[in-house]
Amino acid sequence: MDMFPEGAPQESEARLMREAMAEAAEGAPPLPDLVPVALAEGRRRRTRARAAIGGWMVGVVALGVLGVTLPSWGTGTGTGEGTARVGAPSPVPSTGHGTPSPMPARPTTVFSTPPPSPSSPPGPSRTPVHIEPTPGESSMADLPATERGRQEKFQQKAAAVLDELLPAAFGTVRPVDLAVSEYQGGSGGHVFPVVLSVQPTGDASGSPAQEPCHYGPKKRYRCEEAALPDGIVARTVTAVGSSKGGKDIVGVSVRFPFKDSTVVLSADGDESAMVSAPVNADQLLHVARDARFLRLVRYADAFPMEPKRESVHGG
Amino acid sequence: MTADGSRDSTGFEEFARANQRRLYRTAYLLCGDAESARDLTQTTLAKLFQYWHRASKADHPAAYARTVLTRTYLAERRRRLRDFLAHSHVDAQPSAVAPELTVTLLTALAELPPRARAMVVLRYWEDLGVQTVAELLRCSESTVKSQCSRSLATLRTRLGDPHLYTTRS
Repeated sequence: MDMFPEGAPQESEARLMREAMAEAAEGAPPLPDLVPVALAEGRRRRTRARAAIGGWMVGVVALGVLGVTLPSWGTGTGTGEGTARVGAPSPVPSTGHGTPSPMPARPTTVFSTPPPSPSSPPGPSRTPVHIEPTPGESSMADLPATERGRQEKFQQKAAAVLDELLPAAFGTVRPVDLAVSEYQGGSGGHVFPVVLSVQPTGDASGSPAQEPCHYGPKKRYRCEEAALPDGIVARTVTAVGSSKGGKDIVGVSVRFPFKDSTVVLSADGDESAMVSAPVNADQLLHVARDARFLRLVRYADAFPMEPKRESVHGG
Repeated sequence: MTADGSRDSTGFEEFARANQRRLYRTAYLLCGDAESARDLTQTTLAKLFQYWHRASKADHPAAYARTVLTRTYLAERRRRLRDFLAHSHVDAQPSAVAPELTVTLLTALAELPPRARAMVVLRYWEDLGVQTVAELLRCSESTVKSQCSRSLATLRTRLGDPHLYTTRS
């Protein structure tokens, strides 16, 4: 049964809506010609995209030539993921919780490694949430095959770790195939966007600066600083994303600098259902402090998957 | 610039000039103020040009552009939430010189969550069907129906008696 038929009772409201929108749209202030600026910005975007792919290719070759070793990381979850690695399955198991394996691996091998063989410990594979990209959204499908494979593997590991560390109310955390930083929890018909971003931001002077807390209305915004291992100072923010009928949708994030990267872990609420993210700042900090989570961060910092952060007006 | 590149930009310019005003109007209803609407429209056009070789091959490039605009708007709102700048980016109030109905509408739209706002704008301004809106926003048709129904009720309360407006002129 359709609970929300679009029938006659709504017709007058819909007509009113259309008329009001037409009037408002017609009354919008004049628009200058945006085409010249859009052309320039579009060309910059093209250049940046090419540079990002080119930079990745150079990095792969350089790392391969230099034989740089990769840190490996196991989730150490005790659920069959303990020896999972980004690279080729190693005959040497991980040394356990919180300790990066000393087993070196060549990045060239890692980048081109096929999925774990059937003899590997079976890890839960999460079907990615498919989101059809528009031209405005870069998609993992646009990446070179080897890089895409590397990012997909990372997403699987990250989803497994997040699944274990986030509250059960998130349901199963799955990767989103639009971007390596995007994930989605789902429970009870609700969808909770999750972001795990490790974005290179370091400049010549070293690690990225951490923005201090700035304070907003207490009811809508709370920013706190907290300590992570190795003296890292994290900033947690709990904020109201939107409100309706006196009900707020609250999202939570934790942000911290890690070597040359800025790490953001955030959980948003389900806007359609007006449900807040089922996690609080302390719980998100607990995730960020966990050795399994920090192994993910360490890998993504050493072998970036996201383009270097730039200030781009308008997204 | 190569000959292909020149044709590329010429085709884009023709498309952009013919469609920028319509995109801007939609952006205005989504954002609620002219400055944000211009930024959103410009970003949308830039993204379209970045991928123009693909966008130009779409069956309906204008619909394609509308999709880019809507998703860019939603992504921007999500980014604000993620960066928690929402508190410092309150939607600008409609101009005081705007007609009463416009002020009321934009104020009412501003109270809706971004996705609900996008649904209403696409459904009633762009006049898209429920299925099309659902596909564009990647949600179920029932979600679109329920959101639009709730949003209409909210807006109806805000806007008051339709006869006040429909008979005004």
